[in-house]
Formats: sequence, structure tokens, C-alpha cells
Amino acid sequence: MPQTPKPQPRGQPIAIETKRFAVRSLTARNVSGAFRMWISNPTVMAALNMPPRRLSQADLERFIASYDDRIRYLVGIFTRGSGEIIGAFMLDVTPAHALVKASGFIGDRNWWGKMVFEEVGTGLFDEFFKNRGIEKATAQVWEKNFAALVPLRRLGFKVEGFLRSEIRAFDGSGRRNQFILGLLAADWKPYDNAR
Amino acid sequence: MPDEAVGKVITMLNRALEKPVDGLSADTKVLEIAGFDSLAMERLAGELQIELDEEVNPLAFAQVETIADVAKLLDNQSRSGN
Repeated sequence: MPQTPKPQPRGQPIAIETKRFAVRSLTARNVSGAFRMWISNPTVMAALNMPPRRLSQADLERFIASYDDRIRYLVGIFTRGSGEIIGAFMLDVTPAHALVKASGFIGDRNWWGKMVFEEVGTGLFDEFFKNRGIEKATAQVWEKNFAALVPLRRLGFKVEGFLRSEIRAFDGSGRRNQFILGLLAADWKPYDNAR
Repeated sequence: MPDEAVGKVITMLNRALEKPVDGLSADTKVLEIAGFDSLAMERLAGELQIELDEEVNPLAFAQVETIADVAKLLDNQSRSGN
């Protein structure tokens, strides 16, 4: 008779600092109203190909609890000065292949175009490659999402393929092509040119 | 790579950037140009589309390293379109 898998304990939360940012696993305690606002913002969510959603505090807590810091990470980007959250990364680990799939967004428009992904990505991938046994990072990016493509390439990701009509557009406008990008731990060099 | 295509790309790049940059050459790495960000890349794609009268090959465009690579793209795609 099949056994119900035992619930796994939470892993080690992410807690790193870069020149301008503190990067920490999100918890119901440190997530702010700004985060909920972004989830309901069509422009921010469009970058993730997701529809905007209105979440209650309880919904948000359930959403955050689904990330376990072991195979699923939800990581907030906080400014070191004011401590405000400005964006987030989501990372899904496939332990059998020592692989992490990353996506993210900058919700605070004031930080768009300021090389946040390059700086935070440097800290995050350094952590995953050096301390969490990850051997490869990947990202799937809509072909027109230059806001993700440019920083990923700066971080050393190589375009490994073009996936034709890979996903349905969240807004019902048809199917979208995606790039698949990859970065091997063996090729990792921290990006040191963040502003 | 013909100088003409490289010159065209440098002009396009400077239109795509908020502040034009001096000293760009065929060997300049696009992602290392001061002020080159996602918006500049989007604008450059638009400039190339106008020049080619068709969308630039997305896979090739996503992988360009240098200005010479962009010029090659322009040259190859305009030839194949003719």
C-alpha cells in the first residue's frame, strides 16, 4: 500500500547581502503590502506571464508557505537603507539533477533599469552554486522580455534554445515563444560591474 | 564585416541609448556599453526591424556579443530577404 510521503522540514532560508540589497527568504512576517500590490498589478505580473490576482492576507500566507527553502524558494529583495521590498525571485530546485530554475521581477518601478537583477543574481547564484550544491541554473524567458534577457546574459547565462509557442499567453492572446537560458556552476563568474 | 553595416549599427545603438556613447567599434561588447539596458535592447530591436523591414531573428539577436555580431545579423538578414 502506497505510503503518504512524510512532510519535509523547511530548508535553510536565504539571507545574503549585496552592496545595495538584503536578499532574504520571504515569510508571512517580512512580506509587506507592496508585495500584495504587485501581485495585483497587471504590468508586473505580465513579465511573469501571470494574470494579476487579488490575494487576501490568508491567501498570501498560504502562497508563501508553499515555498520551503529546500526545493522551492521565494526570495525578497530589500533595500539595505530603508529595508523596503522592491522585488522577488522564485527558484525551483530539482535535487536529482542539482538544477535550479529561476524567475523574478522588480515590482518597484523606481528600481527598473538599475541593474538590480545583475547585483542580486550575483549574490543568489553564488549562494546556490557554492553553498547549496547546485550545478546548473536555468531560466525560461519570453522572447520579448528584454528586462530579463539582458541581466541573465550579463550574469553569464547562455541562450541554449528557442522554444516555439512554448506557453499560452496569460491574457489569451495566443502562444508565446521562449528562450531557454542556462548557466553552469563550472562557468560561474560573479558579475562585478553592478552599479 | 563591412564598415557600412558596423557604422549603421553604431548609429542605431546611439539612437537606442539614452546618452550616445563615443568610441564604439566593431569589437565593442554590446552588453558592456555604458547605459545599455533592457530598454536600449528593445529599442535596438525596433531599429533593426525598421531597417530590415521585418522582425530581426530573435534567437540570433538574443545571442549577439559584439557590434560586429549585430552588423552580421543585419547584413545576413537583409541579403536573405532580397
